[in-house]
Amino acid sequence: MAASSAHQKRRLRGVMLKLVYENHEAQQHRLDDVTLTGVLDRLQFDVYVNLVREILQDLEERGLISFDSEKNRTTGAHAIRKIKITPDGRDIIEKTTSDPAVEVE
Amino acid sequence: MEPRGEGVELKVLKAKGLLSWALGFFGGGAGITLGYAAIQAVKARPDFLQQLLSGGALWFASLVIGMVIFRRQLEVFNAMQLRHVIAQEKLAQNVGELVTRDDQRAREQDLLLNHLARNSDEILRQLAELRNAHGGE
Repeated sequence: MAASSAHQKRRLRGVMLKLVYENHEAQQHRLDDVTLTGVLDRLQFDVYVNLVREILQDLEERGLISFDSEKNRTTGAHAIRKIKITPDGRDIIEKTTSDPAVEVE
Repeated sequence: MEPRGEGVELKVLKAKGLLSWALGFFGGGAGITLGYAAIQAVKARPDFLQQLLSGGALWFASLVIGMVIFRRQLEVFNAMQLRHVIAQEKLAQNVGELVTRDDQRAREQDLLLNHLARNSDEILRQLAELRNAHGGE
């Protein structure tokens, strides 16, 4: 799947939020951008780390997740670690509320 | 990635090598000159030979030569040790990368299985609901 259109981004937001939610429920170590990219890749999404970072930043701006951002001094890239789901994010996955920008199956 | 300082250390070793060649050249020249002067002096005054041998000069010369040889061997040993340490560092780094890669793969697999298992449950639940809605067909 080429993740570029608005619909595909809505779908990706939903899947990523769900993965963070499931990880939280399983009480596993918190996710980072590279691991999320790996899992999405295995789920047959055509993604790359920068796209995943963009969507994570988008989800954070919507108040659905929070994370730690770390700047790599060698490459200048901002790595995203310790991704946490917020109560608003959990509500969307549990379908207590909905957000048209986040498509959850 | 190369261990830090390896290039600098090799450059220092190269500079040291050139310096030791220059020192060896001048030292050898000085030794030959001194030897020639000593032979001339002994030829002119053979009684000096007895004084030279009984004065401990030979022992001193042997000690100096021994120290030079020991220093050379020590340099070779140090260079070998340095290469050994660099090789160990590279090995540790590679093993670390290998372990991290395997851990990452296992974690991704774990997350994927968790997600697929939940999806599968959800599909089965919705299928049952559909069947019920259609009168248990």
